[in-house]
Amino acid sequence: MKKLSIDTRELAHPEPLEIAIKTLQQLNSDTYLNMLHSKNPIPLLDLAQEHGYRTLSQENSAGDWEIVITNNKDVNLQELLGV
Amino acid sequence: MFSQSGLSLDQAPPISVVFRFFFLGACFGIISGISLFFYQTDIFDASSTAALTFTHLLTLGVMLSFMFASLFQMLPVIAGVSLKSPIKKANLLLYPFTLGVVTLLAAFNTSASWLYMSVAVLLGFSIFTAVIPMLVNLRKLDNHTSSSKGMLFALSALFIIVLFALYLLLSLNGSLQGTYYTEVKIAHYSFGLFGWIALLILSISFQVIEMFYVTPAYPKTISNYLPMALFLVLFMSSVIGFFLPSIWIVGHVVVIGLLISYALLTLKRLTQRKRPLTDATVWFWRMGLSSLVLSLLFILLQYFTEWTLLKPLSYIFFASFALSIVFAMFYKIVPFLTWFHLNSQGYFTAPMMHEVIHPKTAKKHLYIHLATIVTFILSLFVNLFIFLAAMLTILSFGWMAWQIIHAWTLYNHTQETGEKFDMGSIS
Repeated sequence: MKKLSIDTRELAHPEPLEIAIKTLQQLNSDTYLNMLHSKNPIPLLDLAQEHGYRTLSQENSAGDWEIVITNNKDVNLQELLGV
Repeated sequence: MFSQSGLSLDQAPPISVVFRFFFLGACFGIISGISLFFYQTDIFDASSTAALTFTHLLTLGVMLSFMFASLFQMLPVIAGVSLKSPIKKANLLLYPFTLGVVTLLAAFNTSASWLYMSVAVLLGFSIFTAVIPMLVNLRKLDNHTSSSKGMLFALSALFIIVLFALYLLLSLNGSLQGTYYTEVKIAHYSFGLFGWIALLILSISFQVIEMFYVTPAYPKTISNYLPMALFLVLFMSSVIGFFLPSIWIVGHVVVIGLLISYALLTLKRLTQRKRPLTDATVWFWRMGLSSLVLSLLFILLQYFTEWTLLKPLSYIFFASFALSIVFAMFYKIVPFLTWFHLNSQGYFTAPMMHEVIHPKTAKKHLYIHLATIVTFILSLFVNLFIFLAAMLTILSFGWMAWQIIHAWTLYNHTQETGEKFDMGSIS
């Protein structure tokens, strides 16, 4: 699957949300969003889930959050983390 | 506007709830500008009807309306507190509150005792109806953030302010003897300015400064204990003040020390932004915090010198503090809410945030606001400047009202004509 990466760790709220939502609109079943963020973006995860996306977020050893979002129902999200 | 630890979209109130309070605040702001044509520089004499009316127009009509707008939005979001039937609750507050403020202004200007009684009923009912459920819900929270804890203290302060206000109203009305009128009056305005306005702003800033401007977090000791310390100093001073009124000198000096430390720390935080892009809201914060420091210094100096301009200068700068921060929050909240509500409803054609309110529009308001404060100061030296200050006040709040109307129109237009994107089709 093709990864669409965004790093929003140094962006001020609400820019990360704005960029992530724009990227979500471009996703298809062969692509997924991989986002690095300074916090766990609950509103984004909520919004994505409400619209039928699958999401997974996990804090890494540096204290940043890695988030994967896709609308592919078959892929294992855990495997996409850290890819 | 988001807790990073547990927002559900279902908890966010309808956008109209927030907008109606912002709009109400802007309308009271316009009225305060108009009132200046009649009261002129009498507003700087604290014992005058003009000062009493103008102060309550700003603190109750403008500030409390704006703060209710923020609370309705932020309590579910920052504190995870879900308010049931938000539109019904908002209206239950809005109508009696508006009528209560107008009646209070009439009461100050006519001294009719039945008006004071009406105000006690209208404002007592409306504010308690809103504040008590908020307090109950906040107290039930298992995991408090520094912001939610601060809000708890700020709302408790508001509760106490209203209790003091009821005593003052019933004393003016003749229902009570008013034995402690002076003591209660000092406690009322001290809690109002420092325990409600300043405390709520600093509690919210613990969350939003780091989030909006990507700064280092506040030290935990400050964010966890400053709101409680402020509240306790004010509470103790109020209680002891009934027996020893001079305790307020100590109380005010401690409060001034705490708030100046907070303001300087926050100004320092704003210099530590990871992305030093400066928009109007950063300047509104800088202006607000600098005004807070100046206002407090002018209050402090009143204990050492009798310079007559100290009092009016402290009033002007305190108003500048509160309004600057409100404007900073307004220009972050309104575009974001409009954009976010439409996106969460799936509108592909939702306007971007800069299309709801363009950054240049906010910058123009910054200049208007700055000019307003400068002309108020100039009016202390040349009285005629008060008319310019009046016009600029009307322009400033009119500008704000127009932004709300514009955002609301865009929101409705998108809902009526917008295309929805399909994010829900899982392959």
